[in-house]
Amino acid sequence: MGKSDVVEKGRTSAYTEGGGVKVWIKEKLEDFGFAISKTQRRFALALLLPAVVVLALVGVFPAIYCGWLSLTNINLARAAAGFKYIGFENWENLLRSPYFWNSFKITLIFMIVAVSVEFVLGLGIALVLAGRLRSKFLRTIMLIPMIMAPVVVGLCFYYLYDGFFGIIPWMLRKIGILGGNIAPLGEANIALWAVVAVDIWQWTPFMVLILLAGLESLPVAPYEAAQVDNASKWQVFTKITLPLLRPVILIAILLRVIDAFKVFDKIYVLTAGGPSSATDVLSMWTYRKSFLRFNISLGATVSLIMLYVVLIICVFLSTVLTLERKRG
Amino acid sequence: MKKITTILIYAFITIVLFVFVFHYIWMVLTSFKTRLDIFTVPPKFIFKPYLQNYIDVFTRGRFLRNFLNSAIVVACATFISVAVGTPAAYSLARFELMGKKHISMWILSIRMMPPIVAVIPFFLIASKLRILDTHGLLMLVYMTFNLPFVIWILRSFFEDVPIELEQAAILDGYSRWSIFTKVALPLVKPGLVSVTILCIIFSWNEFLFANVLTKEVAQTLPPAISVLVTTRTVQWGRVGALATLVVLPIVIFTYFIQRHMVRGLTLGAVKG
Repeated sequence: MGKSDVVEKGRTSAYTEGGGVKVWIKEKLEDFGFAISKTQRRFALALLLPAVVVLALVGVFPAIYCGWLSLTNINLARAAAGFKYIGFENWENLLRSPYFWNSFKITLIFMIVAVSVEFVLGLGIALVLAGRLRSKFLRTIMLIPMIMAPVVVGLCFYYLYDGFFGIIPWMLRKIGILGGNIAPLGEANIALWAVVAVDIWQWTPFMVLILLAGLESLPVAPYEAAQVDNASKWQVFTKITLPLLRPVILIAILLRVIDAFKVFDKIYVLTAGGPSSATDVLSMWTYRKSFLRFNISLGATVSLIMLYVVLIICVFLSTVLTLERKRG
Repeated sequence: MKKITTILIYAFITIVLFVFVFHYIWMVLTSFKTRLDIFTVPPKFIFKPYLQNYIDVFTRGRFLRNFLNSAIVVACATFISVAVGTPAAYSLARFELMGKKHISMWILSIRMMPPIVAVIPFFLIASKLRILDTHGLLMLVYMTFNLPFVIWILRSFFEDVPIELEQAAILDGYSRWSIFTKVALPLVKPGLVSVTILCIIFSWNEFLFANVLTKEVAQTLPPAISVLVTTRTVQWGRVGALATLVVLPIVIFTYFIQRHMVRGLTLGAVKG
């Protein structure tokens, strides 16, 4: 209460003095970005314009076009027959289709399991490494999994998972978890977990590095205070480290969630959605529908649903990013 | 006691790092194996190195062609994105434009857009215009993820430039444009280098667009590699050699911008 009162008083006193209205108008204009001079604004817009035009062309236009496609029945397999406007039929069919919901469920499982395991592992490793991993060389090694082309990652694991000579099934057989000549990617009940494991493998280092950066930039004062107060290690972790680290954790998780939701390349190489659609994530399903079955309209509809989901997560991300930017 | 903890921690670091890059190491090892060694069970860790796989990669198949395509597309796509994105980033960082917050949010949402949303319209339009399988198309399409990225990251770098420097330049009679090019730009050089390299990495690795929009003439490396495993008999030695070669340049690049990597990967929010 006290603070806003002071601000209010400051403002009222500004009006009552000479030219008060001017000050008020200036404040309002500043809120809307009119305060900068005209030439300045022209310059700023000129710098911004090319990028906005390109982004509208390559970013917004496709989404709108998808919206139109989703209301038609374009199928490239019978392109000669032409297409017509069919309203929301695609949407209705889609929302009733068990295959779509199956695909949605698989995507969610993939996303939730992969990101939570990555986070827990990442936080654990980051806590151990905090302040101890200074070497540029070692940090580069840690970056390798996430800068590798996802196709190549998929390829490496396709090889590692091979039922006959793959090293992972071989090791699992040695410890007796896996029997016979089972190929993890060929079994409907294992394939999804095998693919999730690849994602965890690839993206845990990302979590480690971000949380490490977060941990290493935490202020020292709260920790000194905790030492004076004889706080236990667990108390320090839950009462100081976690709350201070919260924005970084949020950013890391949100970025990973969006990324995992869109996963395509690895799945394409590893299983192509199989066996019997056990790993058929939304991107994969859309790809097959549009480019192998040529049902472009249905593909566009699913991709729009994906876009909406991502946009919702994006609103959270934007808020956190903006807050964090202002703070740092 | 302290010594033991140190040793334990170094052991931990070694194991963790080894596990993280094991798949790549294994691929590199495979690339030096003969066909016989590749299919041995249990897998062989020690063997006589064999270079024929690398010779095959360069002499058979279309690796060089794909490599060249990748290089052309990546170089141009990166250059255009940085050239268009840098002024926009400066503008967003410096001026209180109307609706700035909405513009930023909009740019972020384009960056996050699932590629599958963009690929369907691009495919239809490109096939109508008969520009499928061209380098230019891929360069344009790669702007969907590169341009928003450049703007977001560089904005955070421009915001770190103290505004007093630019104010001093105004007093010295610099024009708006020369303040941007002569004062602000040189100060964000590390940022420019990092976004350039990150754009190179993203475009180099991109798969979905390249897979749908190119076939032969302009096919880049990632779709060319994916074809290798979908065929019936996979020649793992050659695949390994190819995988090694594709990742190597990226690793070298990463080493030089390692310090800015975290900042890049978190869209400028977390400074590593």
